[in-house]
Amino acid sequence: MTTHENAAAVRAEVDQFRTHIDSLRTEIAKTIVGNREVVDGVLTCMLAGGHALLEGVPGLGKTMLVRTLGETLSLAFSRVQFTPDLMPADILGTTVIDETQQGHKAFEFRKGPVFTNILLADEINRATPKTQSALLEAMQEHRVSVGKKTFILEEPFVVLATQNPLEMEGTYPLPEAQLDRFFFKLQVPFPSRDELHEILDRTTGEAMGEREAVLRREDILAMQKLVRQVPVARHVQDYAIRVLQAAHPDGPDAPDLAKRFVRFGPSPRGAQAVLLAAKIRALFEGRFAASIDDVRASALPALRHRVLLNFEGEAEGIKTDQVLESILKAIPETKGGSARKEERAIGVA
Amino acid sequence: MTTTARDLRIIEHAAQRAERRIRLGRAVAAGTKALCGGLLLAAIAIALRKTHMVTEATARVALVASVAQLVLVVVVAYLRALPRRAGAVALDRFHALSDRLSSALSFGELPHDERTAFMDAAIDDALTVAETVDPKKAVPIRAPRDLGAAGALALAVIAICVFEVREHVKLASQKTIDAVDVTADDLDAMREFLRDMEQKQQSDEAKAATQEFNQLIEDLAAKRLDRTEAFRKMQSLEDRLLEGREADAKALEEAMQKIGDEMKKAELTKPAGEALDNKNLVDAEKQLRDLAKKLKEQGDKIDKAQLEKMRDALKKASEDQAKRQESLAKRREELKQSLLQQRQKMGDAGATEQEKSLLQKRERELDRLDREQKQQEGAQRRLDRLDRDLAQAAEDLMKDLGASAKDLEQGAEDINRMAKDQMTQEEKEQLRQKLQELREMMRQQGQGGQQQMARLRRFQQRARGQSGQGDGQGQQGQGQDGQGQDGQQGQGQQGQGQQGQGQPGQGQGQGQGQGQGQGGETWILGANGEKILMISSSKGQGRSGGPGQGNTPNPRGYGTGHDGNVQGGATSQKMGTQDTQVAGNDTGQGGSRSEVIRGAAEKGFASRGYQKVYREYHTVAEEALNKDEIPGGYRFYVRRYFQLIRPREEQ
Repeated sequence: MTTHENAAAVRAEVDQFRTHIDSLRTEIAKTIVGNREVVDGVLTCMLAGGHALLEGVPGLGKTMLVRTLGETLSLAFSRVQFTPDLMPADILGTTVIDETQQGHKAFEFRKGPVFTNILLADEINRATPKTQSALLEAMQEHRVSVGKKTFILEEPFVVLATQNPLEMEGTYPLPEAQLDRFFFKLQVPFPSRDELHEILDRTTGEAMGEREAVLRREDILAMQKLVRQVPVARHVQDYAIRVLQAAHPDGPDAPDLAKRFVRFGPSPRGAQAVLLAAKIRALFEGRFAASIDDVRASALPALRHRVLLNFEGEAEGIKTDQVLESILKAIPETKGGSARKEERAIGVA
Repeated sequence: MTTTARDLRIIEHAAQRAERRIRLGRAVAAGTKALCGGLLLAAIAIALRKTHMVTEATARVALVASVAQLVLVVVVAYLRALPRRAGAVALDRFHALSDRLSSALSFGELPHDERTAFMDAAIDDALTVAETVDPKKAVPIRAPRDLGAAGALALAVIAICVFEVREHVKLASQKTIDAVDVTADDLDAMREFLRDMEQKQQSDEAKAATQEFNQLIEDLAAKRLDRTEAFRKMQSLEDRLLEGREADAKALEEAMQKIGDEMKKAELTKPAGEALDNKNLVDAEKQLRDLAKKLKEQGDKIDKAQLEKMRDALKKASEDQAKRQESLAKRREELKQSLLQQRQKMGDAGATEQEKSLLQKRERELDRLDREQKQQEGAQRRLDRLDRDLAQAAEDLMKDLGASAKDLEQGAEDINRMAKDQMTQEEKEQLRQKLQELREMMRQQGQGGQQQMARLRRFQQRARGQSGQGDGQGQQGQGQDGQGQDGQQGQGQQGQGQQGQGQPGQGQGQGQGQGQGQGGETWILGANGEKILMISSSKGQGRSGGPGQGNTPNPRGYGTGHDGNVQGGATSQKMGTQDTQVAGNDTGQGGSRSEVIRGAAEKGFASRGYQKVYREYHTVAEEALNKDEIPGGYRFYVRRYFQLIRPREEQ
């Protein structure tokens, strides 16, 4: 195929991708009001093969979102309410003694809720670290090992965990190493006034409309594959790297906020997440390559849970988002450029 | 070239245009800043040049530097490296292309086989928008922020260039000096003296000194010298006059006398010896020449015994000086050794007061011998030739009278030279003394002030027989309340604090020797700088004049006050006088001395009779001065006095 033929084929694929995404958004929007960024974030995680950590106060529709996503994607959906007494076997499954058809008794592994496509781990920070790690291992490996047997989890496998920013007493905050496994950390905001009107209109009236499955599992897998094909120009990737480095207190070009309040910066996994998210975002907009704007837009959800503040930062009440925003402001877009306003305006910086 | 490459050129062109505009924008911004700096520098340079605080060259350098830095900054700003694909990024930003152009360029650089389908699609996508981008809009050349400041500075530079700095040119003014004031009469006195000097047979040195002295007098007369310069010139002239002065002429005279004593012992050389003994070198020369002539012409007729005696006398005369010097050196050496031993002894064992006193005495003696030796050496240097000639003459006397005569003539020449030297020294000494008089006179006149100068001038005019000031017009101005005019002239400080004496125009005649001013004692500086106590007896109430008002002219011409010392009451004028006519006898002898003096006091010192009287008094005064009968501090005043009353030529 010639270049143009290639390009035409790609264009068609991208158009289809966009069509799928638009239909998915539309279907989700029937149930979920607003939260466009959260929805896109969840979709991004899914398309990137990653997992999302949703943080928000109760009652914002986190569970509803996940359920809706499962229904529109024709994917298996499970929900686990994490409690302090939850055991790893409650997630992964357990071996029971069962009678065979021949009448013999044998051990049989009964699969746990993790054996699904979309798993909602509600209030993950309420479970013990042991239980958390059992889930996190499955998240990372996409497999479950029980005894001598290993069970591969069916793709796509997405864990959408939630945690309540309030009520920190009696919880087990996820350790940094575990947090790093989440692709995105999404802040679920409180709905606006108009959104509240909409929510109330929908939920306090007659039964809500039925959701239809608009995508199949194969479509999701194809979309995941397409995402990996999106190219990133060298200067865009360079920008992502510079942002990541600036998030370290001793990194080059690190702003004062980072130098002062950051204890540990994000790992290379963070850069992977940023770049994948940028590619997905480019596809969302029908472009064929990721841009610096895509990287900027992806930086916060991809890195906010990967930056560890020091005691001074926590004492000062600094948020990681503040640090990341200062980094994005300080880092010039092009290497050798400056962060001056005039030059940024014409794209030199 | 592939299709893609051709296509990408569209994007590249657009990106390059954008990049050029970015560079231009940078150059403009940096250039404006540099322009501000350059204009500031230029303004400072021009301002400093206009006020002449820097040279033209420095100002030019500054201006060139300001322009050069501007050019340099603009060039550097334009050529400075931009971030990679800055032009494409600028286009992407402005047109919100989400890095389509820059990504397309990035993908286009990859080899074809490394390029994926997505990259091709991205390039295609970029090409669809490439032709719609506008580098001008994407990279506008904005007006620099510093443009306002540059404009203001440019105006400032123009203003400074236009502004004319007033230069105050100092007009050349004739240099005036505060010329020293010397009365014409005193200058005439100096001129007379110098004329007399010139008429003498002067040596070259004395002539030169006289000329220089004359020049000094003329400069003073023409008021070309201020006080400092006048004194400086006088000092310089005095130094010249003291040059070449031998350490002690006395030592020479003594030596000549010794020679004379020896020569007196022989009959033939006796006249010359006596002349030398009397310090009459001219006569001594003449006698020696006569003796030489006699030896030449009548040598055969002269007694051998006399010749023998003459030879001895000459030999002794020539050796005497050397012997005396030897003896002096020996004595000095002995004393020096003795002193050294004594010092060592005192150093080892300590010294008593007596020993210390003895040591000091010997040291003084040694100093004296040193001085005497120096004097002797000085004299000896001058006598060396004479000694040699006399010795040669003595030697040749027994062999060849003609040769001996020649030697004596040589000796006469030596004496002639010494006589000339002596004369020169005497002339120089006279000039030096006159110079000292002039200096002292100027010093005292300077201390006396304007009033004294005025009084001096009046006196000198009257001395010439001029009476133009008699009605007191010019003199009223000098009288002050209670002070009036004193009757004494040339006495410096005595002019102060005196009551009004005499009338306008009359004060001078009365002042001589009278009316010594007020107050008991006054210290003044003598001729040699020593302090002299002058005691004045008068209370200064005005002896024969008015009550000391001084300012009021009296039309009758006589005073109206009286001296407080006058005893008794005033004589009544209405006493019934009787007029008597008395005729004098004409004895043909002229006026008496007192009449001449009185006449001079009234009419000046220009009469012939006065000249005779003056000469008599002056001679006596000179004798007294020469014989040291007058104390050193008063010598100047005596000389000055006689100078002031010297006879004048009638005008």
